[in-house]
Amino acid sequence: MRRRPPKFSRSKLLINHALTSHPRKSEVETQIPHIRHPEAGQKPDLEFTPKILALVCTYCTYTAADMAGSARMQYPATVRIVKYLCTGRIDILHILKAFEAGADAVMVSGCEAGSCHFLEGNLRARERVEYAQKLLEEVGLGGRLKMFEIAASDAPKWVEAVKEMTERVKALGPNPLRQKWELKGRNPEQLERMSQS
Amino acid sequence: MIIAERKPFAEIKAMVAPYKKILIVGCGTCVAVCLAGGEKEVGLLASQLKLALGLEDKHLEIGEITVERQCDLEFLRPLCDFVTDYEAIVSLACGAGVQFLKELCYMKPIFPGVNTTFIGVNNDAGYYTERCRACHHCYLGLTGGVCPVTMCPKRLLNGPCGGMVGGRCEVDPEKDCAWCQIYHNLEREGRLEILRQILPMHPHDRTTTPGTVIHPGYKRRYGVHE
Repeated sequence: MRRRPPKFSRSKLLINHALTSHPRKSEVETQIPHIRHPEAGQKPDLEFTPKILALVCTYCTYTAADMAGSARMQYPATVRIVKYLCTGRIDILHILKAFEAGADAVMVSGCEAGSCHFLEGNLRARERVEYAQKLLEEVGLGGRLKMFEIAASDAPKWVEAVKEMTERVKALGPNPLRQKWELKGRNPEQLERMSQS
Repeated sequence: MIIAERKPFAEIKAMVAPYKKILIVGCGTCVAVCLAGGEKEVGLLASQLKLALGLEDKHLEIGEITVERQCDLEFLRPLCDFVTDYEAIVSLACGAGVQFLKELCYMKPIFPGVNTTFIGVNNDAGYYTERCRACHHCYLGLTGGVCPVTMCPKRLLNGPCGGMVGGRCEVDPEKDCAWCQIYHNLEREGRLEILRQILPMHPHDRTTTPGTVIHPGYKRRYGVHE
């Protein structure tokens, strides 16, 4: 019998994994410590923690993010990174699939103009991101996609970018699509308990 | 190559609104090259529809398939069995492909996903310009390789209209005058005397639609006699 080809591409698997896998326990604790240690007699506060997918270039932004980690820089634990060999490889379909999988926002980050290892991959990514922004606006998910240019040595800029994106998503609220799934998955009592809390 | 542009998303969304299960059929030839209806565009449209309808709390099951050429029965026929499961079809092929698919799947409602624009060339990624109007009678040998029927907005066959300014067309000053280009091309080729020849009226009778062409080698097969 012939084996069927895999249903999902590798990039889609990566995107799904990045969105469904939970951040490390310590990251959750630093983000919302009061869930772990609620004050006596006080209900835990269900704060919205955005899920942001970062599609980054291995040469620049990934190195910057790595450096931010090595330097112990603090930034919100809201971002899941998918590493690409070049932002020129990022397809609009990857971005849309991320939103389908429930991402609250997607940030694409590559080299600064003129410093792409493959000459113009970042410029192509910029064109694609602009088109993807238009497609997302058409479906009603505008403002949730942004492109950054972060050089390998620019760890503080990465930290700022994550903070900016987190603030932006907190202002916009969660991806309405994800909210609907979450509500669908619960029974009426659970929903009632959610609304009370 | 046939150039097409994707229809506005709102229009496609309104067309498929009454259905629960649709099939998006792409075409892997001309419209794939002009980034309007190939495999990737099928994926993008499906993803956009899923997102947009998901936001409205509606469920739409979407099948995606791309055939090599929708204007060719050889590639289209295997689709017949596949189509039966779906309520409606959105075709991202040019107008010819959409109609051919409809002839085959005559029980299903079919919707075009692109606006077919013209026969043109691929200047660069994402940049296409018109070159041919498929007018049934080619003058390119007499006009230095520039088509007066397509490139001249007035479709003049015997010289310029006289309205051009500095070699630019009076209808669209952004564009070069086709007859200026024809003159310069023939001058470079050393064939200017060819312009003294007066061309007869364009055979508009042959452009009556729908046209049919039967290859001389196949006249017997299709019972056509001269």
